[in-house]
Amino acid sequence: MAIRQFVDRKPAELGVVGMSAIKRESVRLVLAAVLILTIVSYFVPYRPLESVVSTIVNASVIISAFALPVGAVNIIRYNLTSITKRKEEWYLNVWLLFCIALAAIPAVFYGQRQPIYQWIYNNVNLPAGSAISSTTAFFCATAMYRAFRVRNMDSFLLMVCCAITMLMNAPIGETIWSGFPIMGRWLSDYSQNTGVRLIWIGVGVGFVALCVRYIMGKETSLTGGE
Amino acid sequence: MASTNQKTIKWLGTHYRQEIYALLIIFGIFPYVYPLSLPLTISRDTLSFYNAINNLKQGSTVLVMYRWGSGNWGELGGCAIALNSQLAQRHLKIVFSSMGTVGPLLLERVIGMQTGGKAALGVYGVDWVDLGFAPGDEKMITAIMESPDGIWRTYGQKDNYGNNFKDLPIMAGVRDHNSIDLVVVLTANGIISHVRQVYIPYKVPILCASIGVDWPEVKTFIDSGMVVGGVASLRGSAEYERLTGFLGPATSAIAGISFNHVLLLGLLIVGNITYWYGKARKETR
Repeated sequence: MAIRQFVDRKPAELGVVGMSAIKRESVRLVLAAVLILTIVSYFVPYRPLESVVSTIVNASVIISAFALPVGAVNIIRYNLTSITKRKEEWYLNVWLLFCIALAAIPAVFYGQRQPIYQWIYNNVNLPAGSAISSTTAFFCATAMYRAFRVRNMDSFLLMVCCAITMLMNAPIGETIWSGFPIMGRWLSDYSQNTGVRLIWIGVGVGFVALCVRYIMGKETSLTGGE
Repeated sequence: MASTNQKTIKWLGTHYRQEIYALLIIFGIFPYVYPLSLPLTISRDTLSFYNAINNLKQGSTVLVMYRWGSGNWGELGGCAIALNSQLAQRHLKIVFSSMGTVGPLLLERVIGMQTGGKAALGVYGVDWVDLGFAPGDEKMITAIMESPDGIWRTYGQKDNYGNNFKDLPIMAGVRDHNSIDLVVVLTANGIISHVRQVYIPYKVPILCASIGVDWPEVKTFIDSGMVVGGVASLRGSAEYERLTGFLGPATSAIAGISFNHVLLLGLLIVGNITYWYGKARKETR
């Protein structure tokens, strides 16, 4: 479909506007070609084709690496703009850039095994990461107190399931009553798995539909369309 | 007396945040001050995880993939330490790789905390190797299964310690998915991409240790047989530590979880009492 659209385009259309159309169509063509090759290689065990797809996969991994410097440049640009324009709390942007430099310079020039970088990771990043994760426990506790109210039968069932699952996970549950782990596992193995499987089947079907749209050239979100 | 009760319930309904935070800290610290041993039934999934490693022949190659970060240390740290210890005890060949930038640093920490440290894993380059970090997520899994060191060769021919691959005897025996006997994934980002790229095309068995939030996803693949065994969050880590005999951070933290769960259940009950009391008072007015 994408090829046809490209071939059918009249020469007069290939002006200034036409150049952007060429760019757009070529992106779609490349995308469709890569998708078809990858799918075919999955079902057809033909060595040269597998080798081509393997090269494409390796190339995509290498391209992914470029996301890191792009992210770094973006964050530096954004913060420098905030500093030069003296936006509100601009000194925090200075602090952020200082922290980035402090961690990045040793790692970029001397590798991840550099002692300063390792010290920063083990003594700043790791405890800070764990602390941020653990703050959710405080929010969960207050949320349980405020939100888990038995207003109707649905909320009652939800609360019972929640309590059983908690007592299954905490060793104190089986100390109180040996039936809690059995009930909790039943909930986990049957009701929860059914729900999650339904979600995954839906995701799978949606993913196939998206791939078909890409191959047909109908999906334009990657090329700036809606 | 009735008035005092009413006041207490009213107070509970309005002033709760700081008090709950304080209680949570007290309940969390208590088991560390007064350690107590609670029964811990080993779940079927953790047992399968442990047995899958135990049943491997000596000298088999295990690919360990790190897909977790520093924020997940509480849930997966204990499991990672016990895993290294079990792999070393079984004299297996271990290939570590990381899907996140902090993976190699986490591995350093895990190795530093395991009994015997680096020496317990054997000779570097012969018994184990750390390939380091490579970006690309699912594409990286595909690439690594086709050629475990291919991506790193593309980047610079060197492992995480700066050694050239041709100087590492272990890599001579690890050429593609056929030379990998087991893939162990420690993840904070689901397991479906590993199922898609490791189990479905190559039928290489997968084990998964995951954080609690991702466990429902992992569990579906365990029940379908696509993942052989799994360690579920902190509880699973504590079970696994108990199975391996390498008691560590998860075992000491699980008692704290018990106490906090009891507190949360208490809050659930008190919250509902205040709610229903308030509702009844409104109706009588």
